[in-house]
Amino acid sequence: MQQFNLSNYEFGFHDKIKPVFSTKKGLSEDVVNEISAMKKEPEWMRQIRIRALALFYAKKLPMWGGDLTKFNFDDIFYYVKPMDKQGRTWDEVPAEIKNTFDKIGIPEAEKKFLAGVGAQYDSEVVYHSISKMLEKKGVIFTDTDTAVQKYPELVKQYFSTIIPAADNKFAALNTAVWSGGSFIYVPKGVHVELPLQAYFRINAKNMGQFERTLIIADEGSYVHYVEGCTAPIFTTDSLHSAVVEILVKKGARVRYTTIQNWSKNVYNLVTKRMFVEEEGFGEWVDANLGSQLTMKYPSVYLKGRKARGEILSLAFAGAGQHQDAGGKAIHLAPETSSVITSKSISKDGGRTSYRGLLKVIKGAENSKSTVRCDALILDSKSRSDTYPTMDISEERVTIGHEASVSKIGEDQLFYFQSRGISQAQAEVMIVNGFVEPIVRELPMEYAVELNRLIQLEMTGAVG
Amino acid sequence: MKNIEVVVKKNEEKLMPFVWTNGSEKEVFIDAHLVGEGARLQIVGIFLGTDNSSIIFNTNVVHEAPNTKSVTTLRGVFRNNAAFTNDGMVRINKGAKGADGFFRSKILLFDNAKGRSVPSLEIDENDLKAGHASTVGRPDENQLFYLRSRGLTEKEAEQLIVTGFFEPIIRLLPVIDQKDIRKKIERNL
Repeated sequence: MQQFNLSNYEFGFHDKIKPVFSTKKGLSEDVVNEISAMKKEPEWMRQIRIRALALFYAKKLPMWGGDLTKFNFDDIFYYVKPMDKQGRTWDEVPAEIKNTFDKIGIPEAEKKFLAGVGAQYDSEVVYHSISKMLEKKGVIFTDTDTAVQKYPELVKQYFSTIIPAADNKFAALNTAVWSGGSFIYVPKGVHVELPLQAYFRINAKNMGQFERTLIIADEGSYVHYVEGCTAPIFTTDSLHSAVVEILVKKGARVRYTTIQNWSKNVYNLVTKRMFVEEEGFGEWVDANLGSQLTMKYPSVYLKGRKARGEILSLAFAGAGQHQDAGGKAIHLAPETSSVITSKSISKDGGRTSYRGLLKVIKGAENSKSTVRCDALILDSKSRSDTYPTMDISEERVTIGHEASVSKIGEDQLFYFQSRGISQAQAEVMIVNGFVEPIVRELPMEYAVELNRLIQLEMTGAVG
Repeated sequence: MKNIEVVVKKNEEKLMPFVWTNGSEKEVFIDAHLVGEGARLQIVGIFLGTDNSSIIFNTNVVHEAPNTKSVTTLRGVFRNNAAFTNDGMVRINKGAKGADGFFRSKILLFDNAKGRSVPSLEIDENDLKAGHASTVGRPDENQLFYLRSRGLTEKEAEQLIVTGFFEPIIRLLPVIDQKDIRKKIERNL
């Protein structure tokens, strides 16, 4: 396997790309109308955007979580389109953009085992391919902009039904100015054996990225979607505020994997939610390494009998970073079960917070939930918090929550050192072992990349 | 609302017992600070709520000095629309090296009782141990079945399980008080 060299890859590379079109900085009804007009959208979508904009102005910023006071909504480009046409094949993608993807390793990933690649460069999906096999099965895998044009009925039926614009300020913002993201529809009984993948990155200075992803897994189907991000360093603040809506119908299974590695000036404020119907199974695997501030709590709403949800969350906070991550499981039907596992590491003054919600409504009898949060603090400058909420209104349940915070054990280090392994190496091995329960759930290439990123963060070099 | 302030000084050891059986208190806040090196604190909470009674029981334990140790242990049984709300914070300040803070709660719910629990940790130091463990649920069906199969009625079986559930936490308290607490629980069952 050819591996891209991570030591040359300190998140800072930055191509000179001339956007074909971008809106003025800042947000207004004109900007929203302009975005809608540029995309030649139908009137109903424009109206959804305008209604959401009003909600965005009406909603307050969250008073909990990370520090958003320094953030200026007027200092952001809300829409940037990098080129006119969508590339159908890899050859049609401009060389400079390809160059960026090469550094991230996209073509490698595609060659290996991925069925389709939707790579988001700036706000628009520039390259998208679907294997013939998927098309034959009736699977729709496209960017959300195209879906609005080609599958308006499907989009109309599900868009904003899982996460309404009124859910929170950032969901409203995304609904008003969204651009790009993936749209996936898996028909009844179809199993997509290969993970579908999309790679996102922010590249124009001060550019907001507001992708909108909608996944519908019809009865008895299965799909695994993988999303990963890296971004170059800029001196001014960038905003990434995505919305991901997933509907898992009866007996279906969806796994959504994210590796987030935004550069350390990005505000990453994302709303992710799954509705899981009877006997369905929804899984989030969520790894947060980059960004200045991440506030992200993927949630599963278990709506049908025997629905299952699982959330695996990994957070790494280095100097100047705050990872406020976690998960939510809402039990709305009998015999539902959920598992939340969170692992966080803070280093060099970084701060990690686990924030979670576990809710069981009256009538969701015989539900089960297990929450486990572990945190490692690597030095005395760093900080770690745990804020889990358990709200139980049904007595016939089994609910357990456990959390621990610790440093790397002296006895563990001593064991390694007594076998001739240096302290630095031992620390890397211990941290890798600590995150292993989550890393092993990732597709192989991502697991390799993640282990290398952790090594890079720990020691500043790979090897 | 009842506010209880606790300050634990150097090498002091304190035990804070709290027993509530449908008491008149609706809201209790224990604010504890371990300010001297080697301070140790144990908070023990026993709760038995029935018939629409409710309690908000919040604890805030702050480790401010090195080698301090705290253990908060709560057990509660709630039945007939009773409700339990609990915020349990363990905070370890910068410089409190070698601190060890733990919070655990076990809540049994019967007949439309409700429980809300937020066990939180805030850690500003890396030389430490801290954790929490909370469970909410019903008594184990297997235990109930076992007792029923030995000829006990459902009520008797439940009572026996509740008594057994409180026993380990009662034993954390001074022997001299244990008998009274057992009696108090039996009366309220």
